[in-house]
Amino acid sequence: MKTNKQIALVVLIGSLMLSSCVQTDIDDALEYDKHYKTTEDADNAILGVYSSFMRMADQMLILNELRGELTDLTAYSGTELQEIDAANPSESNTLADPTSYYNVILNCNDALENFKIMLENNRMTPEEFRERYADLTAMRCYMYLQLAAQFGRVYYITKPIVNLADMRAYSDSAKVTIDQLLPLLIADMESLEFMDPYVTSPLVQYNLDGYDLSYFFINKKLMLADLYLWNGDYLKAAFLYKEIMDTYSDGEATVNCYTYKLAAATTWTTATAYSTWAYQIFFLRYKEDDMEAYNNQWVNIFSDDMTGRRIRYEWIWSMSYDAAYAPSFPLIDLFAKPEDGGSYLLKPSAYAIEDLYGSQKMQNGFTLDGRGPEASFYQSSDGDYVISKYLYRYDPSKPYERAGRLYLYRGGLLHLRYAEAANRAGYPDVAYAIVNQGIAGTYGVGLESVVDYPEPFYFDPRYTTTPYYRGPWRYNFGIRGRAWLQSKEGSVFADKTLAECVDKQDSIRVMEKIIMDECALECAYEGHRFPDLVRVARRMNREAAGSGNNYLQAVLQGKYLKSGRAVPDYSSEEKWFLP
Amino acid sequence: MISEYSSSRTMIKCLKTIGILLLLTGIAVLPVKAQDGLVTVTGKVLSQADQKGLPGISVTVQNLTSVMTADDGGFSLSLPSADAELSISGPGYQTKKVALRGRTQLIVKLHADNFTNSVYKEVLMPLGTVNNSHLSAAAVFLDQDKSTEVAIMPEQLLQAKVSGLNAMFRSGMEGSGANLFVRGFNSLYASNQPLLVIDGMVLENAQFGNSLIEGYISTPLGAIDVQDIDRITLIKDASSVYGVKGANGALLIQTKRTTDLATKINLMAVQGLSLQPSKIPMLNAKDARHYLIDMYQSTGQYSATEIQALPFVDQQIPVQQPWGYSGNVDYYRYNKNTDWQDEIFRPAYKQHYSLNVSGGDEVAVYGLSLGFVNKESVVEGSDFNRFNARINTGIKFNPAIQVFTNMSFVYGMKNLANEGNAGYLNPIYSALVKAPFTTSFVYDRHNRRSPKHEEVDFFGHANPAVVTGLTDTENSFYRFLGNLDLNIKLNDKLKLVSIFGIDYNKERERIFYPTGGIPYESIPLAAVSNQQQHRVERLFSIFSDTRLHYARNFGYQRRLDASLGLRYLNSRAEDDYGKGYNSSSNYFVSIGSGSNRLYQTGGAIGNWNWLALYGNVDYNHKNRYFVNALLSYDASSRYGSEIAAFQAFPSLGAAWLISSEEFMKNSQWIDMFKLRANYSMTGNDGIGNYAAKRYYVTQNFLGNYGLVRGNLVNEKLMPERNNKLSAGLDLALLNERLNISLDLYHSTVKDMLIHAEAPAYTGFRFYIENGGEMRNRGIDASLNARLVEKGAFSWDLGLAASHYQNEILSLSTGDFNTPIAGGLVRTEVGKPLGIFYGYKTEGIYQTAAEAAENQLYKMSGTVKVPYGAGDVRYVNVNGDDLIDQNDMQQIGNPNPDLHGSLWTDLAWKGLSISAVFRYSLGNDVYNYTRRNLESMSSFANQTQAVLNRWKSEAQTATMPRAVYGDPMGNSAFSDRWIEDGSYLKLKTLSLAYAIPIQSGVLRNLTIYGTAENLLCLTAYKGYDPEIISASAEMPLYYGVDAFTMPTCRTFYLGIKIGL
Repeated sequence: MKTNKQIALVVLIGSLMLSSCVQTDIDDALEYDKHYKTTEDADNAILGVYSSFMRMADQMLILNELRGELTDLTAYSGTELQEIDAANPSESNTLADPTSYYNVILNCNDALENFKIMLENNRMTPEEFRERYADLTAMRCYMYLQLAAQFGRVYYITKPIVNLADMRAYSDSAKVTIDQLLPLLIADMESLEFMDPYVTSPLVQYNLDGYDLSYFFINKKLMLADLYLWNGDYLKAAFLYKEIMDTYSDGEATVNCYTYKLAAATTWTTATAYSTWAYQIFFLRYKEDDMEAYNNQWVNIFSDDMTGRRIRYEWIWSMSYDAAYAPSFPLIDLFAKPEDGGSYLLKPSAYAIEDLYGSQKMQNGFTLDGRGPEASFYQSSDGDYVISKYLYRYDPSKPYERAGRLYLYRGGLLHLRYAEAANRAGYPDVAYAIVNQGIAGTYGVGLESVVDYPEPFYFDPRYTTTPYYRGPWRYNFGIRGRAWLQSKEGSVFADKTLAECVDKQDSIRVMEKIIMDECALECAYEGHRFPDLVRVARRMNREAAGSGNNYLQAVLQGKYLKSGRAVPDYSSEEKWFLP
Repeated sequence: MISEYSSSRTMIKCLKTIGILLLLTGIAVLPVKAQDGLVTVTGKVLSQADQKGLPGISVTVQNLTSVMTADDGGFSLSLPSADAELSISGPGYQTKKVALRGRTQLIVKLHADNFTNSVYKEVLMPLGTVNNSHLSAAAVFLDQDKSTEVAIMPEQLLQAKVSGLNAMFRSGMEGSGANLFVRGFNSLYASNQPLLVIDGMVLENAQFGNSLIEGYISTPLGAIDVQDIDRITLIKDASSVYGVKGANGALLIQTKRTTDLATKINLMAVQGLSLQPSKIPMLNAKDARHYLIDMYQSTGQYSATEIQALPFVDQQIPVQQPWGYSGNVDYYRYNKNTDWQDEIFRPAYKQHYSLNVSGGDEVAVYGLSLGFVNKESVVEGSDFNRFNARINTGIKFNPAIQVFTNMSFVYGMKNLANEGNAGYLNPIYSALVKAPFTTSFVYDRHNRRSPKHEEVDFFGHANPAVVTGLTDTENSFYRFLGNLDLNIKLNDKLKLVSIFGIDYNKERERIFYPTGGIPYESIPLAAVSNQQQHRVERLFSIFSDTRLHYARNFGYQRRLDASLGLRYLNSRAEDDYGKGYNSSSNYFVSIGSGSNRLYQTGGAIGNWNWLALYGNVDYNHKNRYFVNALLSYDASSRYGSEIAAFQAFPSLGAAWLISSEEFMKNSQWIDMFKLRANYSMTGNDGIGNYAAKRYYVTQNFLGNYGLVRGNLVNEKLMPERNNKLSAGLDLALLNERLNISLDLYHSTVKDMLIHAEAPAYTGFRFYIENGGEMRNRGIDASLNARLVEKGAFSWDLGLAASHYQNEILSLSTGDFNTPIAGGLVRTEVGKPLGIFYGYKTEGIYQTAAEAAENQLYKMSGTVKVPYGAGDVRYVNVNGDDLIDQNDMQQIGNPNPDLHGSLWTDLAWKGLSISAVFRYSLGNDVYNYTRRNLESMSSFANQTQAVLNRWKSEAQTATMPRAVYGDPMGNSAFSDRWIEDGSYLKLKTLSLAYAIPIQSGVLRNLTIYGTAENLLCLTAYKGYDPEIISASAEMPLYYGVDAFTMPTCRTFYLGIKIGL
């Protein structure tokens, strides 16, 4: 028996030894135990998250736009797009499949969990950690908010899902509603120790293939501000928006007025004088009735390359796709005409062209919104309208050079969101100014023209020589002022104009609809429309049950009526969301 | 590594332990009974052919006694009892085992040693040879003379005489391998191919990268010359000795080893010619023109004048005018009559030479062979060239130590053709869809032919002459296969066997697709004008297998054999490819000449290891009862981390040779009657090298890379388990003139790998898990009969028939559909694997009224469109008013009811004639080729069947109307494309004549001729019901015909010379 035991022991030890020599290494992928060892690994994980986001951004854009009223189907749109438009996707519809959203989220979770381990094991310094941890936390919140705005209920998962046991730990009951989700996301964001853009990360220290990567990363404060805005914390939201609007406000007098302040000049005397700083629409001075003197610089927000000076004044978050690298820019195929190398799957809705842009009046009385025709869309020679916002970096004669940018956050949007927060926080007059003729345009630039509300509603537009004073808001002429449009006093979705309002609450309700109208005009096709409408309609429903449903239905139906299709039923909140 | 076991005493202890285990399982090692008195057995050995006594034949009772027959064939033996088994053998005659069954007088008739049907052959088995009459496993053994065989692929040998194996060639292209399915399907996603064991060395029958040539799968068997093969065993069950790699059975091949010391030289030369395949009846120029005009009209985008002006419609001959040309300038380019099938198919020439030298002395023997093959395929531009060299040696250092070496080097070069779903790069597709009024060369306005090839035509179709003539699709491989086999006799009971081998295979592919004549899909950065592709695949495997073998006889009636061994396989595969595009001209064909911006590279590296400890016990009681127990204890690098590092795979087999029982004494006409049963557990580790590991993959981020999660890890991933239960009987009657083998089996595949749909919240779409269960039940039968044996004349007839029933028992994912070639294959619990799932049809709606009556609609986007006259009448299953996926049902089953082969051999003196038929009955085929050619939805040329398409309510049509783009889905995946694929085919018909040689230098001289694929009885409409799909390695792709090269009638003439 003793020998038997010895044999057993030998066999046991032998097999253990042998089994260890059975193990193999992976040579064409990175095994977990070799990952997350250095900050370079961490940065590669971050690039991984953003690259997976870049690969699904077209799906997000399609859902956010096609479900809104500004974007319509073409003769080339297939069944999947038709179903999305009709808000009735079939089970197999890949556009209504949230997997790619969760892919970005789970990539974040995986990295975040391992960043913590790296910090514990001293593989990252606390400084390195907090920048990276904050970035991906914000990115995850962004994806969750996007997901919730389309799907209503989401699985709120903050741990990595590595194996099947992790996968099976979640069931349908783990889903949360937007109402439950928002406080969770806010708590996540509020717990961050670092809210600024990357400072020390090598990712922003150099240009990658000619691109300044600092534009590629999410703005954490805006993320939190958006969450506040969704959650009804208007003052908190306004504070954060204002903080970003005030970037460089305390800088030198010569430059304190540009960044994210929608700077514009009142008059230009020569066509070349618009210089390098303003994205505005104007007529040359004294030629305001001459279309020859019309000049649209606003469109350059989308056509300027990302290296110029003025681009920094407008763009906060934007990701560039290069022609030479995967993923190639997917939006050319989506929007360009077949003869220009695209598939022309989506186009501007007739409703947007005729009813929205077609009803705007310029300051000289002309009916034209320079942000629409020849800017957001154009009419091709065969009469079809084409969404052109994404096509400025694309030359149809070079159909294989598909470069372009994804538009995620810019000054115009920031001001509109601030206006929305300020309005609800009890400052419809500030919102009115921001949306229409701006701080300088509304309050003037004289010594007395300071908007003397407490922060975040304090604005200084002063521009005086004696005493020499240069207030940071001196060139702010508002969203509509920058587009040289007349002020908006009412909305077709509101039962009265601002002038007819009897109290502040009335003004706020009307002003909100004006802001939403302006969001459509300013940020059309930039992927914000449907979530914006959901946010506001939810808010309205909370205020007066059913009013949000009616509002949403009213805003969206224009597109369907004009195209002769049935209007989807949005008569209750569950019906807004994809299954 | 084996040192722990080197002490033979320890070993014996081990074996005793196993013996005790055996006792516990109820198999008693009976004590030797004392015998008193001796019995005298007398007998006579006669020749079966002429009934004359045979002198000098040895009559042996193992471990007891042996005598030689006298001049009249008589012998006499003194034995302890009349319960012994005699082994009777002699030069020039078969070996026969005769149980005395209590008899003391007997007459034995021996067949000559070329009697292929003998049931007393020594069968090659994993741990040595076992006499067929003692075998408890279900194994098929092939050892026939292959010297006049025209086959060059070992798989061809398996197509006849083997029951329970479905050996289907992937293509009629020379050098293509076959898919070998042993007893139904054994896995859904993992390998179904039996393990290859060549001269004791394990090779995985798999590819380790993906060919750049569509439809091509490299096969390790292609590196083995049929002429070098000595014998083959296909083990259908009881492959537990190969543990986790044994689930699909094992194919054991032994290459030639000589035992003859005289120097022998064999030379063979074969030449042959394949004829063109019979054609698919396509539309001729006139009918194609009418069809295309209909098609243009149906687009709704052309006016009558515009259609009249189309270059293939306008019949105005161009006339030169002072100002240019009047008439249709392209008239001559679009008004020819070309049979495109004639353009791409050709008679193909074949040659094959082989030289074999063997000899040696008392110490060392050697066998050396050289072979050269050059076989053209019937598609223009494709062929297979192979050069192979092999040296096998056997060295006897002393009586106790023997070393064998087997080394082969093969160089092969194939000019392949893209097959299957390769679009225009598949010459067969290009030729079939090409309009017959176009030509391969440019004709000018004066009808003068230019040497220039035509470009892509007006309809966007490729020029097939360019696809076959100007493309390079070359695959070359170098394979070195070498092993060293050491046999040491430690004492008279204990033997050490050790095999160490290396398998090195390198495949290179060089591809060039030229500018002009081929429409290319564009790539992200450019329109493609031409393409250069290179690929290298490399496999390096080290194999070792060491075992101790213990054999002990207990008297002359009982014997114990036991082995304990350790096996190790370390493999490393690498696949790298590069693609270049748009070189400056068709003369720059290498990848370096492609445009700098457009290079694409890729590849994969795989490492995997397998280690197994195994033990085997064979016990033979009285040469009547045989028990075999086996255990393999396997570790693999592929297992998940949460399962045991070693997995046990046991098996137990038993056989009862009833014919040796005393009560069979009077059944003289029964030579052998054996019952056998076997239960084995084997595994399938084709679960991916890294599927169970957590890893990250790179993803582009501008010019940099990000890292993202690679998979949803299944840490419990384990090999599939195949539990096989089989029972069989072997019967030999009338002195082996009628032999029957019958096998029943029931195998269950457990923990079958499935690709499950991951919930969206994981961010992954799929994960793999061991979530399926499948069953195969079946029966294999084979029959061999010597109908006539009279003097020098003999006539044999044989039949192999197999039937299996495959059924999916459970799926953790639920039923699912897999899209294949525009159709769906459904995997459903309770159904067999490979079910075609689509719509059923009931003809077409002849009139609008008929259609209106049914009130059925099809969804077009979100709009409902009613069916009209000329549309297919689909069966509405669920009763709503829509035809959609809810109306799909089973429309075909690709599994045959019965498949197998039939053969017959006639021999008279030096003349022999043999014929082999193959058949398959009751299998459905999804004819994807025909679907493309009868869909009537594009400008592709169609078959003549479309002549009877619906045009007006006045006629009765059998085909639906022709509408561009097929908006009503008349060509959807339906039973219209499912055909009965049953066939009976005369695979080979051979005639050989051995010219009588008096004396001199020549030992023998044989001339022979063979015809392949001479006749085929089938209703199948495609080229070849036998060759169905080029990429049917996975069962899900089984029975799909997608533009694959057929086999053709081929005639060979050969000569064999022995010196």
